[in-house]
Amino acid sequence: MNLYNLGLTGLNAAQARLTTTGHNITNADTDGYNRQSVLVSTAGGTGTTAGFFGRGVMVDSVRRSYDGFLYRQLVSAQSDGASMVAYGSQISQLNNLLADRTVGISPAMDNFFNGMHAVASNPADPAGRQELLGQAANLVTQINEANRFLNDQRNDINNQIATTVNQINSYVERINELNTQISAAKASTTSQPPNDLYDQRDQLITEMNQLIRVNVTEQGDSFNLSVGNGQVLLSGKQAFPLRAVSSSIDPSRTVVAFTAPTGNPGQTMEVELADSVLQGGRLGGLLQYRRESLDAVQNDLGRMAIGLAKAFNDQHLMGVDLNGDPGGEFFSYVEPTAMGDAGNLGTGGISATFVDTNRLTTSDYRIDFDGSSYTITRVPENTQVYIGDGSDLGGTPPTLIDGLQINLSGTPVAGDSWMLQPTRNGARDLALAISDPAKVAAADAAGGSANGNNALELAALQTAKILGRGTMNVKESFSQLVDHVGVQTQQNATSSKAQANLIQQTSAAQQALSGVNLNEEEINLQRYTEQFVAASRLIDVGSQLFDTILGLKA
Amino acid sequence: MRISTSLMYQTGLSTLGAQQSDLMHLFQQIGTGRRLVTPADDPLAAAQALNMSQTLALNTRYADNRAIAKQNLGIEENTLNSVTQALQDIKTRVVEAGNGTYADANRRSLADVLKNYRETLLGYANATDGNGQHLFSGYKGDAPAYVKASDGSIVWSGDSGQRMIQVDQTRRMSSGDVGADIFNRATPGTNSYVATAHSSNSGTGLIGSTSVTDPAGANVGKSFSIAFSEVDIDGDGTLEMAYTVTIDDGVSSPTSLPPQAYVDGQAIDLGGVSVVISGQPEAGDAFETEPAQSADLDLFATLDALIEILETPVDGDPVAQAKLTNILNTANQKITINHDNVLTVRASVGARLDELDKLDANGAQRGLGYEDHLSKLENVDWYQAISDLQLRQTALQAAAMAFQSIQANTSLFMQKR
Repeated sequence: MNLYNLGLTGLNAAQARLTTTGHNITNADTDGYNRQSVLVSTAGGTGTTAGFFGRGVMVDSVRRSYDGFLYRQLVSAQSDGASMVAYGSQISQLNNLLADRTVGISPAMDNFFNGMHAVASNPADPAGRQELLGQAANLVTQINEANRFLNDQRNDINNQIATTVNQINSYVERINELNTQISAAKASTTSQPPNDLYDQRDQLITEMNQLIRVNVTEQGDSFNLSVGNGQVLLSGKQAFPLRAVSSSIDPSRTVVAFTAPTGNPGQTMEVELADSVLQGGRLGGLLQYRRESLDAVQNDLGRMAIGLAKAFNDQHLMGVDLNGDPGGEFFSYVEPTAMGDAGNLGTGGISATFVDTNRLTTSDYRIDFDGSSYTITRVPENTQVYIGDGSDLGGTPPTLIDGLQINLSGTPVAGDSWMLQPTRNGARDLALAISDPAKVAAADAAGGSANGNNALELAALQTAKILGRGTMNVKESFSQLVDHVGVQTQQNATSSKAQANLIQQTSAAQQALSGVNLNEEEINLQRYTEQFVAASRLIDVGSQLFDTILGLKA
Repeated sequence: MRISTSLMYQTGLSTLGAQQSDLMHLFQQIGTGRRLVTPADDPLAAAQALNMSQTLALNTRYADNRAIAKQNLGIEENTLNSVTQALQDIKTRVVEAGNGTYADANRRSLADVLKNYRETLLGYANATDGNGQHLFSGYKGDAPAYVKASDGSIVWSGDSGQRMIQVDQTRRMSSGDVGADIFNRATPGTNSYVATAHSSNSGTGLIGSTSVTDPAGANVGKSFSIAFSEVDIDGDGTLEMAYTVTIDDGVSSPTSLPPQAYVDGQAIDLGGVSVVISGQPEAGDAFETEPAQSADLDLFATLDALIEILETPVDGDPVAQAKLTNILNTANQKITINHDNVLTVRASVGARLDELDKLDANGAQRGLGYEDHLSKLENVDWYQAISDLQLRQTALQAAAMAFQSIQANTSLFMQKR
């Protein structure tokens, strides 16, 4: 009789193993699947005076081959990789935009100054003046267009942030659900591990990390989630969703806010997160691109536009046009206005005037008022450039902040703050102020149709170092921008490659433990089939023995 | 170590992908002929190429500017050539007018000839370029350089503006000259003199041309007036015809020298400067000789004076004849100075054209250098690119073959079938 039972345990064990092997084979290519195996032990022995006779084999459990350390390493590497890919896909658009030096801003600028030279050499030629205005309009269009591209990208990033935040929230909900399912499953099977649910939940964490780096803390069988420097997304069964909101200090900028309990039960409040806090994943990459590249490039382009317009206008105003009238503005641009924070309580307004565009930086400025004094901080560097009651900002001569005169108005209240982006919209607002060729002030103060002296000075601005404290001419400031974009693209490509290698290595290490090798499973299949056949044979032998005994009686 | 089957496929795929992406980049480089497909390929070179393209564009622009300057100077040279010939002819006519056998009628017909030259010269002085801009009027290109006043005289109405053209990085060249510098002035640096007789002279004294006998002389460059009066020089109780020289250096007040006895036809030494007065001046007559630099050298005024005197009858009147001779002499001196000056301006035009040619040669040389540099910055090295292409193609083929054979030959499942 024992042989039957022994055979039966063998059959069951082989069956369990074959089932698991089949599960492995069919899931060999399932994302997030961890190879499973059957844990068995001997079923113990029956004690007799002649010793213990084994009772066969017993299936204990099904376990997945899983190492939390390897898994977390892989997820973290993938999160960084996703961030780099998101950054790369944005900056490579910019890089491609600037790829061909024979189109766009660079030749437009060459042609514009060429036209200026032609007017200087032949100031009375109406065709030359018309050509100059045409080339000036083209330069303005090229600069406006480059800025439009950047603005489109900015809007696209705003949309992507909103979409990504929604996806993150949806992952939080699904993980919350899986937490519940896992508890229930465990409870219903006397604490057997629900491997496939674990895999599903881990896979969700993996996918979520492609969007944003998530910190997981295990509490029993539940995962608690947080992002940034500890902003909680899921705690117990309570989810605190992220929100994509317009920045209170810059409404054109979509930022991420987290919801936090107010202390009153059931009530939450939204708190804006600094972009730099959110790292990893697509969201981290997008925010990094906007912070480190897009803002800088747009400011750079704006500074170039303003520097060119101001220097050109200043010289043009000194000239005399074909009608004998003093020269007017050639380009037009807009003096910047600081944006007040949505939470400002006072009536204080701040604007600025370009005074010395050669000293303009490509930074933005945060202005804070503490009740008595103003603090001006250059961002993103966070360098304080001014602290004082503001009276000298409007003094004679005014204290200039990086070439800007700051104009204060109204009555602010302590705690009010403003954001001044002097160059952000410079490329957008650049326009041509004259359309009549006769209004080109080619002559110097002496006047005369054959007098091209002022045009000579205007043409000389092409190589004058009018930007960056006398370090760059207009073209050089553009080539510096191209260099920045090129370097950032190159760095991103290099680090993406390195990251891809790292992901591959960590993935290999993780897969060495958790992955399915079909050859291995094939061998297992043969081995367990053989076990099954062997166990069946036990029953067969038991049956023969039984028949033998029955035959004796007859 | 366990190799998971899906990882093996993934690795194979990403290896092939990476190889293909490299190959794609090479295709782009070879297809466009550019090493820099995007700035990221070599950011510094991309930035340098932009700056270099501006330098190259400027170099081309300076060549264009030089072409304009050459054109302007060419027109000026042609005009001045005609002016030179006209002046040459006028001088011949002036000498002809001094012919002692000519009667009033002959001189009147000469006056008509000179009137024609006056109009011709006015035409040259108001010549225009292709844009209708007057060549010699300074900044006021749309206004003529010389206009006829209501009294018929021709007056300078331009300004002193030089039309500058940027012909090279640091060289601004005047692409023309101002009428006043061509028709109204003596060559800067010349030390010739212009001698004139007062129009109120009642004697027959003639003043010859002034010569500078000693360029280092104490009074060279000063103006002299020689006034005649009757003075008892030798103390014999009778009055002799004497002259008083007054020297004016234009700075301090004029100083007069003691009267000297007049000897007909004797050179008067003025201190490095010498002038001959001949004939019979009367007391109260006066002559002057002044440096060309300060003299009124208005060519048209000179012509007007010539025409006026040639139309005035002098036959049978020795005083009027002396006046005619004096005015002809003065005019001859002035026109000679004008003529020399036009030749000087022409020489300066020639020098500028020559400089432009040299700058052209330099510019062309520089342009080649810039283009070479630009090409090195952004153009593909064909040998390198082609050999890279072959290497990459081979590598990609090898990777593809390796992947296929490993997959096909190492799977137990596949072998069983």
